[in-house]
Amino acid sequence: MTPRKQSRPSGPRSRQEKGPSAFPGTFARIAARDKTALLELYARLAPWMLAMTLEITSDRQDAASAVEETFVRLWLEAPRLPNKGFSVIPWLVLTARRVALQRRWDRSGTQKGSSFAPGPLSDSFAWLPTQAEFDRLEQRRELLRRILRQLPKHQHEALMLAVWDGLGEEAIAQRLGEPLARVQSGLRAGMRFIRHRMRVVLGTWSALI
Amino acid sequence: MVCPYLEDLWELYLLGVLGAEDANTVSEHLATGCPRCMEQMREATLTVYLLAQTGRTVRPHPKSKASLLRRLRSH
Repeated sequence: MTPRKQSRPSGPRSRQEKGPSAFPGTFARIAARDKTALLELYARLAPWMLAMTLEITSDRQDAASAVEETFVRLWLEAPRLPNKGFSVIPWLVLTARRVALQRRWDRSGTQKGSSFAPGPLSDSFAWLPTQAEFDRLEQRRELLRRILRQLPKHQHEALMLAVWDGLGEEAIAQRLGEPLARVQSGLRAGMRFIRHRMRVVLGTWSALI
Repeated sequence: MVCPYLEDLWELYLLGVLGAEDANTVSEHLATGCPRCMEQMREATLTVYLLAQTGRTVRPHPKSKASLLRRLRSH
């Protein structure tokens, strides 16, 4: 396993770095069991997803394996996923992150300290953002990146441990040497801050940013 | 369950950060299909998506597509 990087990503780093765009027609083809469509989607998204899983695992093989596993799961789940009006890309990201964290824990022999799998989300896809919501987010990535930078340092640090190391609240408190209650309130306050700012950015008013 | 209590938990739930008690509370409430909370969950999903961005790309191994295709054929 390669040494972990000191600095952590906190969002897209430049205007040139664009995220994945929408592929509504592709998802419909995948749902219709078109392997070529899945491979096309893989070709377009894998470089971007691999960067994420590599950040989590710090291991090239594990990172690639996590991305591959995610696309296999997409293949299996595709008939159940809504392919009209919703973006499945967030599903891919959440799944890839989860698989990558599992690879990392398997390799290190550690167990995660908190409950992880959101069971009800596996049974329903009502939580998937609409394509319009996803497109709006993609159009405002640069502003949203700034929001993450505005978090107080201790909140940002705790959040990055959650996102990239997959640590639960108690593990974060131990890692930072802080009381659990402080970490919990900090994480909640941080998410409240991000949520409020995102609502501003994703609405029509960006004057606060 | 009072939904507003959960408002601060959606993203942390998706990230797997919450302790077992809070996570169970969220799971149980989601299982009710509460439309207000599902809407907030969609918003939280976008936030987590954004948080998981590195801003970089990494080129996959040249044989990765072939490897994926082999996996697909077994399903």
